[in-house]
Amino acid sequence: MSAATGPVAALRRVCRAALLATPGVPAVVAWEARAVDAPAPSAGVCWLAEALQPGAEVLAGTGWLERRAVFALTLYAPVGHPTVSATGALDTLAGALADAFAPGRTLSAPADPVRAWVDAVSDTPAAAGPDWLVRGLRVGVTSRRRRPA
Amino acid sequence: MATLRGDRGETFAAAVGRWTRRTDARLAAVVREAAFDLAEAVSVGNAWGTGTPVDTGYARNNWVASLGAPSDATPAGAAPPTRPAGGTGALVPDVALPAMQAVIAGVRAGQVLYLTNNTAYLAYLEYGLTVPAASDTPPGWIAAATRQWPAIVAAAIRRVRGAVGRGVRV
Repeated sequence: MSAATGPVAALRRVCRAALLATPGVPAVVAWEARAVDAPAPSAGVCWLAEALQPGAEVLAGTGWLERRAVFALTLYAPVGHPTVSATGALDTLAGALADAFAPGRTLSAPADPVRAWVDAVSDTPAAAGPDWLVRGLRVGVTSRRRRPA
Repeated sequence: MATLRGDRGETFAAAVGRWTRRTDARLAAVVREAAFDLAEAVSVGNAWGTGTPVDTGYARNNWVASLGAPSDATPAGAAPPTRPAGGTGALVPDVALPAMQAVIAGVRAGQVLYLTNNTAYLAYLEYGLTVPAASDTPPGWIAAATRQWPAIVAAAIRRVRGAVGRGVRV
C-alpha cells in the first residue's frame, strides 16, 4: 500500500483498516491498483479484492466538506471442491464483512484526518466463474473533514 | 367585489398561474440538469463518476435513457465488436450520450426516467466478477455515481438558480 496523502487517501486508509480488523478476513487481499496472483483454488479458502470509488467532495454545512464513496469488496470462494461448500464459505465471509461494515458504524478514529462512517451496504447474489464463486459487497461510506481555511 | 391585481396589472389568479408555470419549468430544468449529469457520470464520466470502463466502447455506448419504462435496447449493436488479432480495432462511436441527452431534454418533473444498460457483461464490470488486474478500472462506478445523487441535484439547483438570477429564462 502506498503512503499517499490527501483526503481520498485518508478515507482509503480508514476503510482498509476497518477491513483488516474484520475477523476472518482472508490472507489474500487484492489491493486496488496492484496486480494479484489469484491463489490456486483450495477447499474452503476464500480471498477478496477491494477498491474505493470516491465521489466528489461537496460543501456540507458551514466549514465541512463531505464525500460519498463506495468501498467495493469482491469476495471469491473456490468451486469444484465437493467436500466444502463454496457458498457456505462465501456466506460466512460476507456475513463477517456485513457485520464489520454495518450501516451507522463509524470507521475512523478520532486521530484520523477524516471522519468516516457507513451509511449503506448492499450485497449482490453470487455468480459462478470457472474456478471461483464471486460475490460483491458494496459499502456506502460517507466522510467529512474540516474545510481548509 | 373588487378583483385583486398585482403590480403587472394582472389578476391574482393569473399571477399564481404564471408563478406555477415558471416553477414547473424550473423544476423540470433541475430534473434535466441532474439527470444529464448522472447519465454522463455513468457513461463517459465527469466530476460525479468515472464512467463506464472502455475497451471497445461497446458497454459505454449501450446506455439508454427512457421515460416511463426501462429500455431493452442495445444501441451499440447486438454483440460487442471483435478486435482484429494484433490490432486495436475500432472503438464503437460515441452515440449513447447525445441520444440520452435528447430523451432527457424532454423530461418533466414527476416523470420517471430510466437509465439502462443491457450489455451482457456489464455486471462483470460493475461488480468486478473477474479476477482483477492492476490496470482494471475499479468496480462499483455505477453505485458510486448514484450515491452522488443528492449532491448532483443540489448542484443542478444552484445552476438553475444562478441562471434565473442572471435573467436566463427557464
